[in-house]
Amino acid sequence: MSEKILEVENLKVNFLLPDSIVYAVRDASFDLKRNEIMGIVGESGSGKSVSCLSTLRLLPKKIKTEGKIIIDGHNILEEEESWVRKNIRGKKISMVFQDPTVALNPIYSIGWQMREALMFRKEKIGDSKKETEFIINILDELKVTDPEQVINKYPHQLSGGMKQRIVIAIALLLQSDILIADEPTTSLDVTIQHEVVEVITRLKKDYEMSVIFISHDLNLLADYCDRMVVMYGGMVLEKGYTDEVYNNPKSPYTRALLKCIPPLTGNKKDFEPIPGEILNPRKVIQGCPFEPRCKKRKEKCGKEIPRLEKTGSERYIRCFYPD
Amino acid sequence: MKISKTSIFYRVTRNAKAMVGIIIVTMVVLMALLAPIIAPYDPYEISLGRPLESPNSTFLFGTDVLGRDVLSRIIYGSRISLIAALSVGLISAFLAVIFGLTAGYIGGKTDLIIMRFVDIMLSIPGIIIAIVVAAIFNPSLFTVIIALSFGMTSGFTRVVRSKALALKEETYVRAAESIGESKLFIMLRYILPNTLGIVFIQIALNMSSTVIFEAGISYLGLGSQPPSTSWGLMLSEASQRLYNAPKTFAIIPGLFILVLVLGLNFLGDGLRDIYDPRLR
Repeated sequence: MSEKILEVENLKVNFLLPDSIVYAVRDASFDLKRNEIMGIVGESGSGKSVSCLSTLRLLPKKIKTEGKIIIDGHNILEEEESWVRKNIRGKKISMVFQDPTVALNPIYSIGWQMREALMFRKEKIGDSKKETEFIINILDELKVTDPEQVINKYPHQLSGGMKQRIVIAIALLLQSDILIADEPTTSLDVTIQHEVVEVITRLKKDYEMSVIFISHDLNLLADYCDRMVVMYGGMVLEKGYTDEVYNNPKSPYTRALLKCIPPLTGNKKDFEPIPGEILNPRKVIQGCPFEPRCKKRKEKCGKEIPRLEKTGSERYIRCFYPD
Repeated sequence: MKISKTSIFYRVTRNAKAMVGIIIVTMVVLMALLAPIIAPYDPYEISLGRPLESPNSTFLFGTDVLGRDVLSRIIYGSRISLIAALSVGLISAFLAVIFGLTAGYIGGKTDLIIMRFVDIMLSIPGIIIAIVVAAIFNPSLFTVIIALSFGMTSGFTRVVRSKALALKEETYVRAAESIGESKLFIMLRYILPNTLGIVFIQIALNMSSTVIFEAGISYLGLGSQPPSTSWGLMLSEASQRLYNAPKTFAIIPGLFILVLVLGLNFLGDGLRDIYDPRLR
């Protein structure tokens, strides 16, 4: 059993707007082990991105957080921002954002931006020649064609897939322990998607990084992740080893999610969208967040919030009536 | 030589407004720099000819009330306008960038304090500031520059701040924050360079306003004093003797002010056309 390098315990994040409160994360608990790829799946507004942004304290100032995020024995939520900036960002955790077309500064060349990232690495390289070699090596590893040409190019001259590879390369050269990939394939073509995911899985193998892979694509995650976390309405509803969660989902939400992926072949009768709308993050809830849309709902579900209970090795369910 | 279609050079030379602006401003700058060489007479020497002569072969623009050559005075006058324009343009740009970036990117209380100052400044008309400054220090080109720098900085700061606010939300800025870059670093390497486009445009527009204001303030007697060759002052001298002097006497300084301001305006507008739509 490898050790935990990141622990999120009962995280709550509220955005304090002038006239209302947005409950972005209502109760999230999960952990990341060394050298594993963990997938967080959920619809928009489920709280998956905000939970991960909290580990880097990259959220706006007008928020209220509760709970703990523990790395290396420190609770990130209690530390000063300058401490987080010096010790966590880029050092322990680095992040790949969703849209590669805007994740790179348009006015600087690729090489310039990668060199800049090197400045924030744990161990500096120092020598300018060695830096260039290092950068070209990494681009090579990520199968970027003609890296010597690419480093002189500007972001708008490259394709989406290429840009995403460069963004990942930047995260790579920081050599942080953890990489958070926030929907890295969502804005790319399907054919490029798998290439990018292959690149990310190599990070685990060759660079011993642990990865948190956020997506709304269950099938994609099921192919590559060791463990999965399913979130809805700001709460973790189910989590566990991927094959268990994917092949034997116990939360009605996970089951419903699996059913609403349109099948390309085979039994089309199994395709069923989830009725209703996504839970409004401004709404205060008394019971399970999925209750209004759940086929199996009973009276208790709307009155009491179910707790996340352990049902097996690494397996947790939040439901009064799991399958 | 292949010129890239997206290069600045290409876009500038294809934009008529910007080109006209550049030509006009360049000519005025040359006039100012080469003044000692091209001016036929000393602009301050009196009684060179009879007073208030019409343009003739000896004095191409005629003479003023003290017998000085108008052409030479006009040529040297370009220096005053350009010095004022450049000083105010650069000083206000420097201050506006510092205040605007800090207010926009850092935000919070700093933003509130800076913007309240800006609001106070914006509510005082430029002329009043000029009068007050002229009353405290003796009126001169220097006081004009101080007063106008004051006045132009506030609006400029607003413009820079709003651009900084927009840039703050860009993903690449958040990505930079996520790898641990400090706020100062991000301000200098990410926010500042991306605001330079609108900064240059605003400098050109401020410069054109400065030329007009300097002329106006000197016309009122609150700026450059005789025997200065400021175009505004020449207009003032002309306005006092509209019936006695030849028609050209009032028209010429006015014309030069008009052309320079037009040139600077065209430059600013042309830059704005070039910068925004096509880069996106």
